Amino acid sequence: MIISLEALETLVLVAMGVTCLSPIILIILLIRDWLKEELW
Amino acid sequence: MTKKTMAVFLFLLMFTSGALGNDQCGTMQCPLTLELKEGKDEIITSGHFNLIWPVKEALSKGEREDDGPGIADALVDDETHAATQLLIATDQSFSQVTHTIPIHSTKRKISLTGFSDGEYYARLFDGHNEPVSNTVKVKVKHHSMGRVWIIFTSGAVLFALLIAYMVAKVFRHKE
Amino acid sequence: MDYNPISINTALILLVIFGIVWIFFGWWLGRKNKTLDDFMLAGRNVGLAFAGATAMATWITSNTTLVAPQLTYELGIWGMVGYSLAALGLILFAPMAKRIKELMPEGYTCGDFIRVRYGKPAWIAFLIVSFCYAMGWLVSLGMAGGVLLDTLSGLNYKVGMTVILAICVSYTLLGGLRAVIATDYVQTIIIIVGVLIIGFVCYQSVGLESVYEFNKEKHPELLSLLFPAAMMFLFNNIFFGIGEIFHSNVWWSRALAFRPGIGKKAYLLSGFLWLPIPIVTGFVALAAPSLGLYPDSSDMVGPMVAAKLLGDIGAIFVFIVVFSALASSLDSLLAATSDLVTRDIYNGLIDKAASKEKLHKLSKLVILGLGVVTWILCLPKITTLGALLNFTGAFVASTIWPIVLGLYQRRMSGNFVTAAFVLGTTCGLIGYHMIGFYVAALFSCITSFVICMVGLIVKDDKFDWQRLKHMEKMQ
Repeated sequence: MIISLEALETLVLVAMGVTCLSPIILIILLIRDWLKEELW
Repeated sequence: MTKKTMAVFLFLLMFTSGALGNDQCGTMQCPLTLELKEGKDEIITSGHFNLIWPVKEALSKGEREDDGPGIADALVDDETHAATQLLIATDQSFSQVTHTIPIHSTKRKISLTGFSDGEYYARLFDGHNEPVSNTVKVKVKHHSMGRVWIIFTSGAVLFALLIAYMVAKVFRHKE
Repeated sequence: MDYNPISINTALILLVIFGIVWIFFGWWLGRKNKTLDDFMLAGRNVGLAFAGATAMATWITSNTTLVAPQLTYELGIWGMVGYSLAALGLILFAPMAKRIKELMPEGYTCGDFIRVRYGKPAWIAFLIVSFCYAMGWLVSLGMAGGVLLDTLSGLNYKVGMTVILAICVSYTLLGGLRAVIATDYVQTIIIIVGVLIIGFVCYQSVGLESVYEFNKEKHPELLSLLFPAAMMFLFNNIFFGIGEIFHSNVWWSRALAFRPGIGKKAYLLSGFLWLPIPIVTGFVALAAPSLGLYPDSSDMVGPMVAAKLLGDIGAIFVFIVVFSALASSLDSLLAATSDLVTRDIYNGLIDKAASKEKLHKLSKLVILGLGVVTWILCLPKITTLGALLNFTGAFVASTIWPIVLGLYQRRMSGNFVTAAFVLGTTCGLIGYHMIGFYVAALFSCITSFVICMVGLIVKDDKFDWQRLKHMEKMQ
């Protein structure tokens, strides 16, 4: 039983999509912490 | 052991070790010795194995690649060989080739993966499709599904218990 | 090896640039460190952005960038998915991070917790487990750095390994946990962007359909959902990952360093953001056979594909990404292991009355010492150290249940926990030798679980949580 192409494609695309979000989320959080002076 | 018997023993050893690498390349001794890194008679249980064809002492004066002086000195292994492809077949006569893999002239080992159950034969060939190594037989036999399901299920049960405890107690915990 | 994609000069220039930037950054951040709490725990007030990024970066090690492709190459789809499920360790640790901060606001290490909660025999057993694991991880990171530089540029293994270790030791020494966390943030961004570029180029230029069709014909097991070895590996890897995170001081010291209320959010965030990364780094390996690339050894498959797809630039990318991944874990491990040696071994066993100033100075010496010991252990380049790390699965998985139950069950008793550590590890090692590496963590965890359950039924310790609040000294 092998994985279908559609399932593999969905898996990879979702993974890439979420990974794309990571730096954006981290940068927004950094700016937010910095503005609130809560970095450290 | 006397010197004479020692000499006979060494002669026999040389003779038998030559005979064990039974594949000839035409009428000549093969210039490359192909080996299964996992061990000669090892049964491959994960469909993944490594083949190696180490540098032989007598052949160490091969042509050097023009890599520029600085880098060439730093390279660990830049001895070249004649092999240009590795063929893998399901029969010893290589009439049913399943994999044709290009080989760089400095490559000395290869990691192969994803093979199903069966017997495979691997051999190195040069640019004129002439063999340049012995044939290696690789037997792939994956773990039995019975054992796999026992281990998989016990892992799943323990994991379910951990998750259940974490959800019931840890995630809902109030100080 | 086929060729060296980047020249030694380029590699050296990159190393010098990275070295100068990180060490300067470490020094700049370290200026604010006045006390032991500043140095060891970054002032115990780290915000969400840094907290999330540091947890993520530390969990993205050379393993994520090198071993995730390797496991995908060897074990196919389950290898890739199984590896990404190591994120469960971070996610499940999230509520525990909150609990740890609440239970022991004055604590420094996980050793502190085990000592007060379970007593001296369990503490010693735990320190042995933890120290073996930390040294195994440190050495494998140092070695990975040397091997990577050697493969990509041909730079001598010893030179590369020494330079990477020296850079990480220097900035950890100068800046303490504050430098570790801030560099982790920058390194996380670098790693993610690099991994994404490589993944995107692979997806665009090779195409998933051709990868799929090629593997279906030539390497069908890689796409199989009933791949026997991969199925056995799945839960073992999950328990290994959970054990690594639950017991290691790397994660406990962060839980204590984060501002109150931040720990849970930070670990959840980092876990969910980490989850897809091994899939992005792993799927690149599936493309290798269809590109005609079969690596010399399977752990180099990721860098090989990247170098093939992106040329020299790709190799530089891989260099930067893996270097960042290595550094972000190496620095965290140096800092956390130094805390464990300073607090638990020195302050707990040798000089129980040591002042915080003395411990502050000592922890710097310990970082330096650990760097030197790691360097010496890395020199011979024992190639089986990757296997050694798997070997530690037997050790760390025995700690999962004792830690979880110790944090939430007053009944759990120290004697049974000591037995769980010792017998769990023993059974794990037996499984490792009798069956294979893919059952070591599982056997260890099952044994430890059974002993803990018996302990819960047989004995009630009636532990007073207040004892953790004030961090009792060793009697």
